[in-house]
Amino acid sequence: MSHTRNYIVETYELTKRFGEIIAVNSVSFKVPKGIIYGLIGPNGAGKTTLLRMLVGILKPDGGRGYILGKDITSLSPKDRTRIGYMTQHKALYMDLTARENIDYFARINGVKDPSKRRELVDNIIDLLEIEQWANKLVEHLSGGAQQLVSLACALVHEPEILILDEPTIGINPILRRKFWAYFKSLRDEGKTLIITTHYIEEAERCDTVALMHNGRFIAVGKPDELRALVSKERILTIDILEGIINLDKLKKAEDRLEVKIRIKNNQIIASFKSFDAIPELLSLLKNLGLRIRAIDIHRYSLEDVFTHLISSKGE
Amino acid sequence: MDTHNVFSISLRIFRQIKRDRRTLGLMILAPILVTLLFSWAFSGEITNVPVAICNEDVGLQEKVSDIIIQILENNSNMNVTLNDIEAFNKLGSEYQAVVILPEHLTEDLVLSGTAEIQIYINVTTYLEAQVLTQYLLNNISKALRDFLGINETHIIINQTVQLPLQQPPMSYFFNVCILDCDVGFRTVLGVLIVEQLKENPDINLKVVSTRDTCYKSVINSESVAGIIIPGNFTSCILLKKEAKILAYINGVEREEVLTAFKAIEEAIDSVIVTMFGKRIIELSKEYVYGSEEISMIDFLAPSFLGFIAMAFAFIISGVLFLRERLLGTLERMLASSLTQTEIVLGYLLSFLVVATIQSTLIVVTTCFFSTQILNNFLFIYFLVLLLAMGSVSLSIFLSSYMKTELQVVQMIPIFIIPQIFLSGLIIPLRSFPEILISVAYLLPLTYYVDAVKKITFMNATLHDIWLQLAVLTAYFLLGIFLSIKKFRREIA
Repeated sequence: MSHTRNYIVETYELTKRFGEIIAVNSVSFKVPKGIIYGLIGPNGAGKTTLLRMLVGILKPDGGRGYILGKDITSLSPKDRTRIGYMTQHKALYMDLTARENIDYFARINGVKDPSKRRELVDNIIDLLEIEQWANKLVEHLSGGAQQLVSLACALVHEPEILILDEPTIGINPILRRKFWAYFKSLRDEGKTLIITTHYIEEAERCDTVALMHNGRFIAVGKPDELRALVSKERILTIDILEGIINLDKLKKAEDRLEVKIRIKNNQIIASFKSFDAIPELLSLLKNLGLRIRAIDIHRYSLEDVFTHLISSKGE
Repeated sequence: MDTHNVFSISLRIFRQIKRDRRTLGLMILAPILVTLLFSWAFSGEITNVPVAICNEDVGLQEKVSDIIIQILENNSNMNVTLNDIEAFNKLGSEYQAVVILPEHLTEDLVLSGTAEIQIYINVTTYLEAQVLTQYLLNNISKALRDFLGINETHIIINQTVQLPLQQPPMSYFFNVCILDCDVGFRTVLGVLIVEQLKENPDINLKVVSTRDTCYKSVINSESVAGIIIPGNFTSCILLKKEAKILAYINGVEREEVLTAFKAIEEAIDSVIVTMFGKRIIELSKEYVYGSEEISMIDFLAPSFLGFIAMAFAFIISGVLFLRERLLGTLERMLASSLTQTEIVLGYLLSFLVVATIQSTLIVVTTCFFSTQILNNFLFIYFLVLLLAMGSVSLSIFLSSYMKTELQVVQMIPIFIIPQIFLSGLIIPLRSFPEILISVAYLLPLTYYVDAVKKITFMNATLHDIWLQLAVLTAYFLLGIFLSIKKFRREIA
């Protein structure tokens, strides 16, 4: 049954209960083709449950969902071969080699022809640069390497959509950057990725981010759009090297400069809307006899946004 | 269903088993070692063995006195009168001799070979006395020889010769009165043996009235031995000093047969040996099933194949499947193009191969001692595989209720070890109390053991073991049904 062609995943008030707990509560969302869709939220937000429903291994209690235009409650074996699923746990056979694991998952995802399979397995091993581990037993590999092999198992049969549950959990920042480089290149090949994470900085790398909390989507949008939900303001942080900070005098300038100022240790933190305010603020500081060590200007982080959203909506 | 998928799973499981050297070693060595251990005889305390007995013994019909009387009557030189109560008053007038055959004449003669026969003679001449004495002794000896086959009998003769004053004419014709008190040999030895057997707690004796019933009782496996005590049992023992007891035997129940035989020999000893001082009975054995040449390993190997296949299939598949669940590979498989049925079938297929290899190892080991098992091995393999598949599917189902591998191992004392004892593999089922026997009939191995024993030793056909086959199939189907249903529930 084909639903809407434009979207790879669509759900309408998808709900899942485990006894008293509503793990996923009326979630409706749409994922267009060729993007990285990030699901972010604290542990227990319902991210994994949502993914398990999408890949058809958990039946929803309410609502509808479609993946690749097919109803998620009646995916055929052939439909499933178009999906790549990487579970939160590494989900590998520890007593098999990396190559044997990858080969097995290619087999059970419909790659029957041995030469074709060999080619695909070699490709993914090349792509993820895991040749040096290919013939080692998975149990002897480091956590990061196992995570790469697990990703390879989800990718090997060249699925159209990748559903990755916390793919970068517990791996070092350098490897994590490498993972995201793969994700971006996969997206650029036209594949769609749905990725859960609880690293805020990873959410910044997604094309669309949904914030999940207590089984609900509490915000969806591009990272910039989400930031705009909170404020268009930027933040200036000034480290003071010498001098006594007189908050009263600074506060008097707030209205004129259209900034908001607070003090934290030896830092002056000012939120502002227009960059025009900055030279004036700096000259004011100079007049007050303060010497500046460093200046930093940045936007609100998603972390700030989510903390804000969760504290306002989550309660 | 896609066979490619099923093969993929099986192939992967083989790889895993191959990697785990210790488990692989155990799977190969354990069946061989245990088969070798079993090749040494096992013997245990067995009681309540069902034995049927048919006692046709009529006892000793004849009396020694009858024979003596008959021979004396046939003697033309004598006129025999029987049991004249006035005999002694007439001694010397009407009768020249009175012979007293005592009450225990037959009994004493057959048991000890001696007896006291009193002869009173009253004649007028020494010559007559000598002639008469000779007649009587010769004839009595002849009677004993004819009847008992004994040449020497101690006969005590009270001889009184009354000599008159004048010599009357010599006569060689005598009137003899015989007082026959002999009651014969009234004990029926067969009855004594039956009584002894009844008292033995090791066997559960069933007294039947015809040889045919006795034989059928063994054929139908109601009894492990059917004993026939022939009609002439007592007379043969007494008169020929040898007798035969026939035993129909179900040689398949080797341990039980040994117990039954021990009981029978004890009974014979307590009756015959105490009476005659030696065992003069030949126990002639006729094997209804099996034969005496069959060794312990012949009995155990076919049943043992099933046990090994069942135990390994259960434990290894349970552990492997639990691991899939814990590590998340099961979740991945469910999200793949595999169906739940294919997953279960993949497991079944790999353990079919494992069971076949293990069974072959046992068969080969057994063949070092005996090749009996080769006679029906295709039939046995079929049953082994059915049993192994049931174990795998049940194990997959049960593993979903377990959280650690240790919990799977805990199933060994719960599910595996009871089957060693309760399946009739080593110890006959009959030796357990009834409540345990009903437990035994819940266990699949019981039906397997029953079926292979029938096939191996009773020339059973499919028709004879349809019940066992049906139960094993049901056990397998139930396992498949439960394991797939369990998957569905997990997905829901």
